[in-house]
Amino acid sequence: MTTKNKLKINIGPQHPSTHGVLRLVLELEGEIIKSCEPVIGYLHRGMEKMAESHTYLQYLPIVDRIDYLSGFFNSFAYCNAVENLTQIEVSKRSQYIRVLTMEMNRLSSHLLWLGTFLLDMGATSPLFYTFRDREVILSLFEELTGQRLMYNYYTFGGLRHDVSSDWLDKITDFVKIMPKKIQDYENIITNNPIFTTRTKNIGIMSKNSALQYSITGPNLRATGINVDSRKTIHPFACSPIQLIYPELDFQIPTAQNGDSFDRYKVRVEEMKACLKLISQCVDWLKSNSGEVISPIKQPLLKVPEGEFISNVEAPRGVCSCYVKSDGSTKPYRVKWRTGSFYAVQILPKLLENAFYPDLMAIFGSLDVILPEVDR
Amino acid sequence: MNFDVLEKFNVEIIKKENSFDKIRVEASKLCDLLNFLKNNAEFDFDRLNTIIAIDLIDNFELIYDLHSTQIGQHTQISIIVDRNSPKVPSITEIFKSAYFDECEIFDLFGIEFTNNKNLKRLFMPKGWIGHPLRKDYKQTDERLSWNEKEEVNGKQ
Repeated sequence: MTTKNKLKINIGPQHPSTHGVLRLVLELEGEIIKSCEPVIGYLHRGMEKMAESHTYLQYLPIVDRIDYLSGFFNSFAYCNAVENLTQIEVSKRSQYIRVLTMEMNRLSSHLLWLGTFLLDMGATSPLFYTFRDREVILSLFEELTGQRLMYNYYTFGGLRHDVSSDWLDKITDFVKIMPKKIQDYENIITNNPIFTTRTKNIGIMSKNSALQYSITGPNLRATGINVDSRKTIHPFACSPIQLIYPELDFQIPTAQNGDSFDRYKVRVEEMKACLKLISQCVDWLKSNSGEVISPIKQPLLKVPEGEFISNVEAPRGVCSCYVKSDGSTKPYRVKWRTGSFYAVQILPKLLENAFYPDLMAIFGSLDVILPEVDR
Repeated sequence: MNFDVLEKFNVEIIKKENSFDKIRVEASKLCDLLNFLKNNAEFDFDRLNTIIAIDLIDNFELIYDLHSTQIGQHTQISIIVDRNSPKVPSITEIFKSAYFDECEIFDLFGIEFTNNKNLKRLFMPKGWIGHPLRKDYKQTDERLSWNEKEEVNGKQ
Protein backbone atom coordinates (compact mmCIF):
# COMPACT_ATOMS: atom_id res chain seq x y z
CA MET A 1 0.00 0.00 0.00
CA THR A 2 1.15 3.52 -0.63
CA THR A 3 1.35 6.19 2.03
CA LYS A 4 -1.81 7.64 0.54
CA ASN A 5 -3.81 4.84 2.10
CA LYS A 6 -2.47 5.50 5.57
CA LEU A 7 -4.93 7.08 7.93
CA LYS A 8 -3.79 9.11 10.90
CA ILE A 9 -6.20 9.17 13.80
CA ASN A 10 -6.10 10.65 17.24
CA ILE A 11 -7.41 8.86 20.33
CA GLY A 12 -7.98 10.88 23.46
CA PRO A 13 -6.95 12.77 25.54
CA GLN A 14 -10.56 12.55 26.67
CA HIS A 15 -11.47 8.97 25.96
CA PRO A 16 -13.39 6.69 28.32
CA SER A 17 -11.05 3.73 27.78
CA THR A 18 -7.78 5.48 28.49
CA HIS A 19 -8.40 5.64 32.27
CA GLY A 20 -7.42 9.26 32.51
CA VAL A 21 -6.04 11.54 29.85
CA LEU A 22 -3.74 9.70 27.49
CA ARG A 23 -3.48 10.70 23.87
CA LEU A 24 -2.50 8.16 21.23
CA VAL A 25 -1.58 9.21 17.69
CA LEU A 26 -2.19 6.15 15.53
CA GLU A 27 -1.35 5.47 11.91
CA LEU A 28 -3.70 2.95 10.37
CA GLU A 29 -3.52 0.97 7.18
CA GLY A 30 -7.01 -0.39 6.81
CA GLU A 31 -7.64 -1.92 10.20
CA ILE A 32 -3.98 -2.58 11.01
CA ILE A 33 -2.07 -0.26 13.31
CA LYS A 34 1.22 0.70 11.68
CA SER A 35 2.57 3.07 14.29
CA CYS A 36 1.51 4.53 17.59
CA GLU A 37 2.83 7.48 19.53
CA PRO A 38 1.68 8.02 23.11
CA VAL A 39 1.48 11.66 24.18
CA ILE A 40 1.46 12.22 27.93
CA GLY A 41 1.63 15.18 30.28
CA TYR A 42 -2.02 16.21 30.48
CA LEU A 43 -2.15 15.35 34.19
CA HIS A 44 1.24 16.75 35.16
CA ARG A 45 0.81 18.34 38.58
CA GLY A 46 4.45 18.86 39.47
CA MET A 47 4.54 16.46 42.42
CA GLU A 48 8.34 16.49 42.47
CA LYS A 49 8.60 20.30 42.43
CA MET A 50 5.93 20.53 45.12
CA ALA A 51 8.08 18.48 47.49
CA GLU A 52 10.78 21.14 47.49
CA SER A 53 8.46 23.81 48.89
CA HIS A 54 6.68 21.71 51.52
CA THR A 55 7.97 20.30 54.79
CA TYR A 56 8.24 16.51 55.12
CA LEU A 57 4.93 16.28 56.95
CA GLN A 58 3.11 18.68 54.62
CA TYR A 59 4.12 16.56 51.63
CA LEU A 60 2.67 13.37 53.15
CA PRO A 61 -0.99 13.91 52.15
CA ILE A 62 0.03 14.92 48.59
CA VAL A 63 1.79 11.60 48.08
CA ASP A 64 -1.49 9.64 48.07
CA ARG A 65 -2.58 11.48 44.94
CA ILE A 66 0.18 10.06 42.76
CA ASP A 67 -1.74 6.87 42.18
CA TYR A 68 -5.22 7.37 43.56
CA LEU A 69 -6.12 3.68 43.31
CA SER A 70 -3.27 2.50 45.53
CA GLY A 71 -2.54 5.40 47.86
CA PHE A 72 -1.15 3.22 50.65
CA PHE A 73 1.75 2.09 48.48
CA ASN A 74 2.85 5.62 47.69
CA SER A 75 2.54 6.59 51.33
CA PHE A 76 4.58 3.59 52.33
CA ALA A 77 7.36 4.28 49.83
CA TYR A 78 7.73 7.88 51.02
CA CYS A 79 7.46 7.05 54.74
CA ASN A 80 9.94 4.21 54.37
CA ALA A 81 12.48 6.51 52.72
CA VAL A 82 12.15 9.16 55.43
CA GLU A 83 12.24 6.57 58.21
CA ASN A 84 15.44 5.12 56.82
CA LEU A 85 17.05 8.54 56.57
CA THR A 86 16.13 9.47 60.16
CA GLN A 87 16.67 5.94 61.53
CA ILE A 88 13.23 5.74 63.14
CA GLU A 89 12.21 2.26 64.23
CA VAL A 90 8.74 1.14 63.19
CA SER A 91 6.98 -1.19 65.60
CA LYS A 92 6.01 -4.65 64.45
CA ARG A 93 2.30 -4.03 64.93
CA SER A 94 2.43 -0.94 62.70
CA GLN A 95 4.20 -2.96 60.04
CA TYR A 96 1.57 -5.68 60.17
CA ILE A 97 -1.20 -3.11 59.86
CA ARG A 98 0.68 -1.53 56.96
CA VAL A 99 0.92 -4.86 55.15
CA LEU A 100 -2.73 -5.60 55.87
CA THR A 101 -3.94 -2.28 54.46
CA MET A 102 -1.57 -2.48 51.50
CA GLU A 103 -2.75 -5.94 50.49
CA MET A 104 -6.39 -4.84 50.79
CA ASN A 105 -5.49 -1.87 48.65
CA ARG A 106 -3.94 -4.17 46.04
CA LEU A 107 -7.11 -6.25 46.02
CA SER A 108 -9.34 -3.21 45.52
CA SER A 109 -7.06 -1.91 42.77
CA HIS A 110 -7.13 -5.23 40.91
CA LEU A 111 -10.92 -5.43 41.28
CA LEU A 112 -11.30 -2.03 39.65
CA TRP A 113 -8.93 -3.05 36.89
CA LEU A 114 -10.85 -6.26 36.23
CA GLY A 115 -14.17 -4.46 35.91
CA THR A 116 -12.93 -1.68 33.67
CA PHE A 117 -10.81 -3.99 31.51
CA LEU A 118 -13.86 -6.04 30.62
CA LEU A 119 -15.91 -2.89 30.19
CA ASP A 120 -13.36 -1.65 27.66
CA MET A 121 -13.95 -4.81 25.67
CA GLY A 122 -17.71 -4.46 25.78
CA ALA A 123 -18.71 -6.66 28.71
CA THR A 124 -20.77 -4.51 31.05
CA SER A 125 -21.83 -6.87 33.84
CA PRO A 126 -18.42 -7.70 35.44
CA LEU A 127 -18.06 -4.01 36.31
CA PHE A 128 -21.07 -4.15 38.61
CA TYR A 129 -19.88 -7.31 40.32
CA THR A 130 -16.34 -6.06 40.93
CA PHE A 131 -17.49 -2.63 42.10
CA ARG A 132 -19.87 -4.29 44.54
CA ASP A 133 -16.95 -6.10 46.19
CA ARG A 134 -14.60 -3.13 45.93
CA GLU A 135 -17.20 -1.07 47.76
CA VAL A 136 -16.84 -3.38 50.79
CA ILE A 137 -13.09 -2.68 50.95
CA LEU A 138 -13.54 1.05 50.43
CA SER A 139 -16.12 1.17 53.22
CA LEU A 140 -13.69 -0.58 55.52
CA PHE A 141 -11.00 1.96 54.59
CA GLU A 142 -13.44 4.79 55.18
CA GLU A 143 -14.20 3.43 58.63
CA LEU A 144 -10.49 3.18 59.43
CA THR A 145 -9.07 6.36 57.91
CA GLY A 146 -12.06 8.58 57.13
CA GLN A 147 -11.23 8.55 53.43
CA ARG A 148 -12.11 6.26 50.57
CA LEU A 149 -9.13 6.87 48.29
CA MET A 150 -6.66 9.40 49.73
CA TYR A 151 -5.97 7.82 53.09
CA ASN A 152 -3.11 9.79 54.70
CA TYR A 153 -2.98 7.05 57.34
CA TYR A 154 0.73 6.32 57.67
CA THR A 155 3.08 8.70 59.44
CA PHE A 156 6.83 8.64 59.91
CA GLY A 157 7.47 5.85 62.40
CA GLY A 158 3.97 4.49 62.69
CA LEU A 159 0.31 5.13 61.99
CA ARG A 160 -2.26 7.77 62.87
CA HIS A 161 -4.18 5.38 65.16
CA ASP A 162 -4.64 1.72 65.94
CA VAL A 163 -7.21 -0.60 64.37
CA SER A 164 -10.14 -1.82 66.46
CA SER A 165 -11.00 -5.47 66.98
CA ASP A 166 -14.45 -4.85 65.48
CA TRP A 167 -12.79 -3.71 62.28
CA LEU A 168 -10.62 -6.83 62.19
CA ASP A 169 -13.73 -8.99 62.63
CA LYS A 170 -15.28 -7.32 59.62
CA ILE A 171 -12.21 -8.18 57.54
CA THR A 172 -12.43 -11.81 58.68
CA ASP A 173 -16.00 -11.91 57.40
CA PHE A 174 -14.94 -10.33 54.14
CA VAL A 175 -12.07 -12.79 53.63
CA LYS A 176 -14.50 -15.68 54.16
CA ILE A 177 -16.91 -14.67 51.39
CA MET A 178 -14.39 -13.27 48.90
CA PRO A 179 -12.88 -16.53 47.48
CA LYS A 180 -16.33 -17.63 46.34
CA LYS A 181 -16.79 -14.34 44.53
CA ILE A 182 -13.44 -14.60 42.78
CA GLN A 183 -14.52 -18.08 41.72
CA ASP A 184 -17.69 -16.53 40.32
CA TYR A 185 -15.66 -14.10 38.20
CA GLU A 186 -13.56 -16.92 36.89
CA ASN A 187 -16.66 -18.91 36.01
CA ILE A 188 -18.04 -15.96 34.05
CA ILE A 189 -14.85 -14.75 32.42
CA THR A 190 -11.99 -17.25 32.15
CA ASN A 191 -13.64 -19.75 29.84
CA ASN A 192 -15.85 -17.27 28.05
CA PRO A 193 -15.20 -17.88 24.32
CA ILE A 194 -15.55 -14.20 23.40
CA PHE A 195 -13.09 -13.15 26.08
CA THR A 196 -10.52 -15.83 25.29
CA THR A 197 -10.54 -15.22 21.54
CA ARG A 198 -10.11 -11.50 22.12
CA THR A 199 -7.22 -11.84 24.57
CA LYS A 200 -5.27 -15.05 23.84
CA ASN A 201 -2.19 -14.46 21.66
CA ILE A 202 -2.95 -10.74 21.60
CA GLY A 203 -0.33 -8.21 22.62
CA ILE A 204 2.45 -10.70 23.29
CA MET A 205 5.31 -9.30 25.35
CA SER A 206 8.56 -11.26 25.27
CA LYS A 207 10.79 -11.67 28.31
CA ASN A 208 13.57 -9.73 26.70
CA SER A 209 11.49 -6.75 25.66
CA ALA A 210 9.80 -6.63 29.07
CA LEU A 211 13.20 -6.23 30.73
CA GLN A 212 14.43 -3.83 28.03
CA TYR A 213 11.45 -1.57 28.70
CA SER A 214 11.75 -1.94 32.49
CA ILE A 215 8.32 -3.50 32.90
CA THR A 216 7.57 -4.66 36.44
CA GLY A 217 4.72 -6.08 38.45
CA PRO A 218 2.05 -8.44 37.08
CA ASN A 219 2.92 -7.46 33.48
CA LEU A 220 6.45 -8.80 33.96
CA ARG A 221 5.33 -11.91 35.81
CA ALA A 222 2.93 -12.74 32.97
CA THR A 223 5.96 -13.22 30.72
CA GLY A 224 7.32 -15.93 33.01
CA ILE A 225 9.90 -14.00 35.03
CA ASN A 226 9.28 -14.65 38.70
CA VAL A 227 10.36 -11.37 40.29
CA ASP A 228 8.59 -9.72 43.18
CA SER A 229 10.13 -7.26 45.66
CA ARG A 230 8.04 -8.88 48.37
CA LYS A 231 10.03 -12.10 48.05
CA THR A 232 13.58 -10.77 47.63
CA ILE A 233 16.00 -10.85 50.53
CA HIS A 234 15.69 -7.18 51.39
CA PRO A 235 12.03 -6.54 50.87
CA PHE A 236 11.12 -3.16 49.48
CA ALA A 237 14.46 -1.56 50.13
CA CYS A 238 17.97 -2.23 51.12
CA SER A 239 17.07 -1.07 54.57
CA PRO A 240 18.03 -1.90 58.14
CA ILE A 241 14.31 -1.96 58.94
CA GLN A 242 12.99 -5.22 57.58
CA LEU A 243 9.42 -5.66 56.52
CA ILE A 244 7.43 -8.62 57.67
CA TYR A 245 6.78 -10.24 54.29
CA PRO A 246 9.40 -12.98 54.89
CA GLU A 247 7.34 -14.16 57.89
CA LEU A 248 4.22 -14.65 55.78
CA ASP A 249 3.40 -17.61 53.60
CA PHE A 250 2.31 -16.77 50.06
CA GLN A 251 2.96 -17.74 46.46
CA ILE A 252 3.82 -15.50 43.55
CA PRO A 253 1.71 -16.38 40.51
CA THR A 254 3.34 -16.36 37.09
CA ALA A 255 2.28 -17.22 33.55
CA GLN A 256 4.23 -18.14 30.44
CA ASN A 257 3.03 -16.45 27.26
CA GLY A 258 2.91 -12.77 28.17
CA ASP A 259 -0.28 -12.08 26.24
CA SER A 260 -3.35 -10.17 27.42
CA PHE A 261 -4.98 -13.31 28.76
CA ASP A 262 -1.94 -14.16 30.90
CA ARG A 263 -1.88 -10.69 32.37
CA TYR A 264 -5.53 -11.22 33.35
CA LYS A 265 -4.72 -14.65 34.79
CA VAL A 266 -1.80 -13.39 36.88
CA ARG A 267 -3.88 -10.60 38.41
CA VAL A 268 -6.73 -12.92 39.31
CA GLU A 269 -4.29 -15.32 40.98
CA GLU A 270 -2.71 -12.37 42.76
CA MET A 271 -6.09 -11.47 44.23
CA LYS A 272 -6.24 -14.93 45.80
CA ALA A 273 -2.72 -14.49 47.18
CA CYS A 274 -3.82 -11.14 48.66
CA LEU A 275 -6.65 -12.83 50.56
CA LYS A 276 -4.19 -15.34 51.98
CA LEU A 277 -1.90 -12.54 53.17
CA ILE A 278 -4.80 -10.54 54.62
CA SER A 279 -6.06 -13.44 56.74
CA GLN A 280 -2.53 -14.14 58.07
CA CYS A 281 -2.13 -10.48 59.06
CA VAL A 282 -5.53 -10.41 60.78
CA ASP A 283 -4.65 -13.54 62.77
CA TRP A 284 -1.39 -11.98 63.92
CA LEU A 285 -3.02 -8.68 64.85
CA LYS A 286 -5.74 -10.41 66.87
CA SER A 287 -3.27 -12.37 68.98
CA ASN A 288 -0.59 -9.66 69.46
CA SER A 289 -0.73 -6.16 70.80
CA GLY A 290 1.71 -3.28 70.62
CA GLU A 291 2.22 0.43 70.11
CA VAL A 292 1.46 1.98 66.71
CA ILE A 293 1.56 5.72 67.46
CA SER A 294 4.69 7.33 66.08
CA PRO A 295 7.36 8.43 68.58
CA ILE A 296 7.88 11.59 66.51
CA LYS A 297 5.81 14.45 67.85
CA GLN A 298 7.34 17.59 66.36
CA PRO A 299 5.64 18.84 63.19
CA LEU A 300 8.91 20.23 61.82
CA LEU A 301 10.88 17.06 61.35
CA LYS A 302 14.55 17.63 60.60
CA VAL A 303 15.95 14.84 58.46
CA PRO A 304 19.72 14.23 58.56
CA GLU A 305 21.70 14.77 55.38
CA GLY A 306 21.63 11.78 53.04
CA GLU A 307 19.76 10.02 50.29
CA PHE A 308 17.63 6.93 50.13
CA ILE A 309 15.59 5.07 47.53
CA SER A 310 12.81 2.75 48.66
CA ASN A 311 11.10 0.27 46.36
CA VAL A 312 7.58 -1.07 46.85
CA GLU A 313 5.82 -3.76 44.85
CA ALA A 314 2.71 -1.74 44.01
CA PRO A 315 -0.23 -3.19 42.01
CA ARG A 316 1.18 -1.65 38.81
CA GLY A 317 4.81 -2.57 39.26
CA VAL A 318 7.69 -1.30 41.32
CA CYS A 319 7.08 2.11 42.84
CA SER A 320 10.31 3.78 43.94
CA CYS A 321 10.62 6.93 45.97
CA TYR A 322 13.98 8.67 46.05
CA VAL A 323 14.47 11.26 48.79
CA LYS A 324 17.54 13.46 49.13
CA SER A 325 17.86 15.56 52.24
CA ASP A 326 20.19 18.48 52.92
CA GLY A 327 19.54 18.48 56.66
CA SER A 328 16.71 21.02 56.63
CA THR A 329 12.98 20.60 57.20
CA LYS A 330 12.18 20.32 53.50
CA PRO A 331 13.27 17.59 51.08
CA TYR A 332 16.00 18.70 48.67
CA ARG A 333 14.76 16.40 45.92
CA VAL A 334 12.05 13.76 45.65
CA LYS A 335 11.82 11.51 42.60
CA TRP A 336 9.04 9.05 41.87
CA ARG A 337 9.40 5.99 39.71
CA THR A 338 6.11 4.30 38.92
CA GLY A 339 5.19 1.19 36.96
CA SER A 340 2.69 2.76 34.54
CA PHE A 341 5.24 5.25 33.19
CA TYR A 342 7.12 2.36 31.59
CA ALA A 343 4.00 0.40 30.61
CA VAL A 344 2.94 3.33 28.40
CA GLN A 345 6.33 3.28 26.75
CA ILE A 346 6.05 -0.35 25.61
CA LEU A 347 2.61 0.28 24.07
CA PRO A 348 3.90 1.22 20.55
CA LYS A 349 5.84 -2.04 20.44
CA LEU A 350 2.84 -4.16 21.46
CA LEU A 351 0.58 -2.38 18.99
CA GLU A 352 2.82 -2.91 15.98
CA ASN A 353 0.73 -4.61 13.27
CA ALA A 354 -2.10 -5.25 15.70
CA PHE A 355 -5.74 -4.87 14.69
CA TYR A 356 -7.39 -1.64 15.68
CA PRO A 357 -10.18 -3.39 17.66
CA ASP A 358 -7.45 -5.06 19.74
CA LEU A 359 -6.15 -1.70 20.90
CA MET A 360 -8.23 -1.66 24.09
CA ALA A 361 -7.71 -5.37 24.75
CA ILE A 362 -3.96 -4.67 24.81
CA PHE A 363 -3.94 -1.28 26.49
CA GLY A 364 -6.50 -2.31 29.12
CA SER A 365 -4.55 -5.41 30.07
CA LEU A 366 -1.45 -3.33 30.93
CA ASP A 367 -3.34 -1.64 33.80
CA VAL A 368 -2.04 1.86 33.13
CA ILE A 369 -3.24 4.70 35.29
CA LEU A 370 -2.45 8.18 34.09
CA PRO A 371 -1.96 10.22 37.28
CA GLU A 372 0.91 7.87 38.01
CA VAL A 373 2.42 8.40 34.57
CA ASP A 374 2.41 12.19 34.69
CA ARG A 375 2.82 12.71 38.44
CA MET B 1 29.45 -6.47 44.80
CA ASN B 2 32.97 -7.14 43.62
CA PHE B 3 34.52 -3.85 42.55
CA ASP B 4 37.95 -5.11 41.55
CA VAL B 5 36.91 -5.90 37.99
CA LEU B 6 35.60 -2.37 37.57
CA GLU B 7 39.06 -0.84 37.99
CA LYS B 8 39.51 -0.20 34.28
CA PHE B 9 36.56 2.22 34.36
CA ASN B 10 38.16 4.38 37.11
CA VAL B 11 35.17 4.04 39.40
CA GLU B 12 34.96 5.89 42.67
CA ILE B 13 33.04 4.05 45.41
CA ILE B 14 30.70 6.38 47.28
CA LYS B 15 28.56 4.04 49.30
CA LYS B 16 28.84 0.34 50.07
CA GLU B 17 26.08 -1.36 52.04
CA ASN B 18 25.10 -5.02 52.02
CA SER B 19 23.24 -5.10 48.72
CA PHE B 20 23.16 -1.43 47.85
CA ASP B 21 26.12 0.38 46.29
CA LYS B 22 26.71 3.71 44.71
CA ILE B 23 29.64 4.30 42.39
CA ARG B 24 30.72 7.35 40.44
CA VAL B 25 32.20 7.30 36.96
CA GLU B 26 33.16 9.81 34.30
CA ALA B 27 30.39 10.61 31.84
CA SER B 28 32.50 9.48 28.88
CA LYS B 29 32.85 5.96 30.33
CA LEU B 30 29.17 5.58 31.28
CA CYS B 31 28.03 3.60 28.24
CA ASP B 32 30.96 1.17 28.45
CA LEU B 33 30.34 0.57 32.14
CA LEU B 34 26.60 -0.01 31.69
CA ASN B 35 27.26 -2.40 28.82
CA PHE B 36 29.75 -4.28 30.95
CA LEU B 37 27.41 -4.50 33.97
CA LYS B 38 24.53 -5.63 31.78
CA ASN B 39 26.32 -8.37 29.90
CA ASN B 40 28.68 -9.70 32.57
CA ALA B 41 27.19 -12.82 34.20
CA GLU B 42 28.59 -11.90 37.60
CA PHE B 43 26.58 -8.67 37.79
CA ASP B 44 23.73 -9.27 35.34
CA PHE B 45 22.05 -5.88 35.81
CA ASP B 46 19.33 -6.42 33.24
CA ARG B 47 16.81 -3.75 34.26
CA LEU B 48 17.25 0.02 34.49
CA ASN B 49 14.89 1.02 37.28
CA THR B 50 15.03 4.75 36.68
CA ILE B 51 17.28 7.75 36.07
CA ILE B 52 17.31 10.38 38.80
CA ALA B 53 18.50 13.91 38.08
CA ILE B 54 19.46 16.27 40.89
CA ASP B 55 20.34 19.95 40.70
CA LEU B 56 23.41 20.46 42.92
CA ILE B 57 23.53 24.27 42.23
CA ASP B 58 27.10 24.14 40.82
CA ASN B 59 26.39 21.16 38.57
CA PHE B 60 23.93 18.35 37.97
CA GLU B 61 24.07 14.78 39.18
CA LEU B 62 22.52 11.90 37.26
CA ILE B 63 21.93 8.62 39.06
CA TYR B 64 21.28 5.46 37.05
CA ASP B 65 19.44 3.00 39.29
CA LEU B 66 20.10 -0.59 38.15
CA HIS B 67 18.41 -3.79 39.29
CA SER B 68 19.28 -7.38 38.55
CA THR B 69 16.22 -9.57 38.41
CA GLN B 70 18.06 -12.87 38.83
CA ILE B 71 20.58 -12.06 41.56
CA GLY B 72 18.44 -9.46 43.33
CA GLN B 73 21.14 -6.79 43.53
CA HIS B 74 20.73 -3.04 43.26
CA THR B 75 23.33 -0.51 42.33
CA GLN B 76 23.48 3.16 41.50
CA ILE B 77 25.85 4.72 39.03
CA SER B 78 26.31 8.44 39.41
CA ILE B 79 27.76 10.94 36.98
CA ILE B 80 28.38 14.65 37.39
CA VAL B 81 27.24 16.94 34.58
CA ASP B 82 28.63 20.42 33.98
CA ARG B 83 25.95 23.08 34.45
CA ASN B 84 27.16 25.39 31.68
CA SER B 85 27.09 22.79 28.92
CA PRO B 86 24.84 19.96 30.17
CA LYS B 87 25.46 17.18 27.65
CA VAL B 88 25.44 13.47 28.40
CA PRO B 89 25.66 10.41 26.11
CA SER B 90 22.30 8.73 25.68
CA ILE B 91 21.89 5.12 26.84
CA THR B 92 18.75 4.25 24.88
CA GLU B 93 20.82 1.77 22.83
CA ILE B 94 21.53 -0.24 26.00
CA PHE B 95 18.22 0.14 27.85
CA LYS B 96 15.22 1.12 25.74
CA SER B 97 13.26 2.21 28.82
CA ALA B 98 15.68 5.12 29.19
CA TYR B 99 13.99 7.02 26.36
CA PHE B 100 11.12 8.42 28.46
CA ASP B 101 13.47 9.05 31.39
CA GLU B 102 15.83 11.06 29.20
CA CYS B 103 12.96 13.06 27.71
CA GLU B 104 11.68 13.79 31.20
CA ILE B 105 15.10 15.01 32.36
CA PHE B 106 15.54 17.09 29.22
CA ASP B 107 12.13 18.62 29.86
CA LEU B 108 12.49 19.37 33.56
CA PHE B 109 16.26 19.95 33.90
CA GLY B 110 17.42 20.93 30.42
CA ILE B 111 20.11 18.27 30.21
CA GLU B 112 20.74 17.26 26.62
CA PHE B 113 21.32 13.65 25.67
CA THR B 114 23.51 13.39 22.61
CA ASN B 115 22.56 10.76 20.03
CA ASN B 116 19.08 10.36 21.49
CA LYS B 117 16.88 10.65 18.44
CA ASN B 118 13.64 12.52 18.93
CA LEU B 119 14.45 14.13 22.29
CA LYS B 120 11.36 16.16 23.20
CA ARG B 121 9.50 17.79 26.05
CA LEU B 122 7.46 15.09 27.77
CA PHE B 123 5.30 16.85 30.36
CA MET B 124 5.48 20.58 29.73
CA PRO B 125 3.79 22.09 26.65
CA LYS B 126 5.82 22.75 23.49
CA GLY B 127 7.54 26.13 23.62
CA TRP B 128 7.62 26.34 27.40
CA ILE B 129 10.36 28.64 28.62
CA GLY B 130 12.79 27.27 31.21
CA HIS B 131 13.21 23.97 32.99
CA PRO B 132 10.99 23.75 36.09
CA LEU B 133 12.95 21.38 38.33
CA ARG B 134 16.09 23.52 38.29
CA LYS B 135 16.62 25.25 41.61
CA ASP B 136 17.00 28.69 39.99
CA TYR B 137 13.81 28.36 37.90
CA LYS B 138 11.53 31.38 37.99
CA GLN B 139 8.17 31.26 36.29
CA THR B 140 7.84 34.59 34.50
CA ASP B 141 6.29 33.57 31.18
CA GLU B 142 4.21 36.56 30.06
CA ARG B 143 1.84 34.40 28.04
CA LEU B 144 0.36 33.08 31.29
CA SER B 145 -2.47 35.20 32.65
CA TRP B 146 -1.36 35.18 36.29
CA ASN B 147 2.09 36.51 35.41
CA GLU B 148 0.59 39.39 33.43
CA LYS B 149 -1.58 40.34 36.38
CA GLU B 150 1.40 40.46 38.68
CA GLU B 151 3.16 42.84 36.33
CA VAL B 152 0.15 45.17 36.20
CA ASN B 153 0.04 45.26 39.99
CA GLY B 154 3.73 46.02 40.07
CA LYS B 155 3.30 48.99 37.76
CA GLN B 156 0.44 50.38 39.81
